Amino acid sequence: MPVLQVVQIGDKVLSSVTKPIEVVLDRHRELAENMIETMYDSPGSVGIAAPQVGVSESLFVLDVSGHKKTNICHGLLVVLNPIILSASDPVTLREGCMSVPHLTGDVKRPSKLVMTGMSLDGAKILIETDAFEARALLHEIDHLNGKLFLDRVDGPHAVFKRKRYL
Amino acid sequence: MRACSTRYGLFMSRFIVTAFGPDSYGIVARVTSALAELNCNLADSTMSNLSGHFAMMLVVDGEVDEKSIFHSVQSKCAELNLVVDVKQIDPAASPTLDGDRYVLSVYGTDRPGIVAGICEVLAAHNANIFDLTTRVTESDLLQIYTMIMEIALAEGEDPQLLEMALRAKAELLGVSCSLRAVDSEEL
Repeated sequence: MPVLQVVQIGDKVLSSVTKPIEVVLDRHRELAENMIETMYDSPGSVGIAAPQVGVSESLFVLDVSGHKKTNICHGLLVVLNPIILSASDPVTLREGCMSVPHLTGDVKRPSKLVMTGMSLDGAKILIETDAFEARALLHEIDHLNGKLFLDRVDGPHAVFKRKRYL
Repeated sequence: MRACSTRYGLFMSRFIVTAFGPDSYGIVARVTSALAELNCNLADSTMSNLSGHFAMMLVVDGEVDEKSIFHSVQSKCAELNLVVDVKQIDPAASPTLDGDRYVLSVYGTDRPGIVAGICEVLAAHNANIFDLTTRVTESDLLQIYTMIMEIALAEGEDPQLLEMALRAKAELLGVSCSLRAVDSEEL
């Protein structure tokens, strides 16, 4: 499985709202496998959304296992067409993104999340989570809606040049 | 020019002091100690490293005059190669163009005119800029321009109309933009 090239800020695909996936095709399964490979190949990465590899469809992969800020953990997730059911208890933390390699930013996001979506086999999935997994899921869902963390930073002084690269 | 009354004195004057020059250790320490020796009080300030040059803008209250501040800062910072300017201002003539606060994010491939184009739209909608920072970074051999600002929208202005106008301008400039209300919580 090839590691995919990650699209960088400035590419229009990152600011476009993705299309929902009505029927899961072989190309979606192959795309998900390659995205998982790309995520695990990228140091520090805990998730990738399809627009980040140039595909404007509603799909992301995520795995926050082992991250120090993780509480509830569902392991490897592949989610299509996610819908947020409830989100609460906002917390501000500094975020980065593979598509914005030189900047980080302070972003306030809910720390409790209930969401649904579809798995690769077409089944409905329900995810109830918190802390870092909730943040990571919301970050990926933002990608599917054409938003980067820069669209959510707390203010003019909440954006920073990255000092350390993983 | 009127004097201002502050908690530090009845007949103080207010000044804007700017100082900038190549970054080095001790710039803030020296400029502020020069002001402290004149018994001046810092009413407001913003200071930042701009591409290797350190820039300070200070609002200063004191029972002094422009020349004494200028000479005090200049002599204290003689070897730092700072460009210093001091201007007395009238505190009563400082308008507060406030309103509902929003954060605006703009980013995309760098090109001349992004700030001008976006800020023309803000001005046309009576949106006052309170704070603005920009960053230029490289990505895939492209220069990426990122601008985040906090604005206040005058009463009666429609934030949705402003956002539509901003998006139209951003499209022309080939950048992305988003506007959101400042999320403040009373504790």
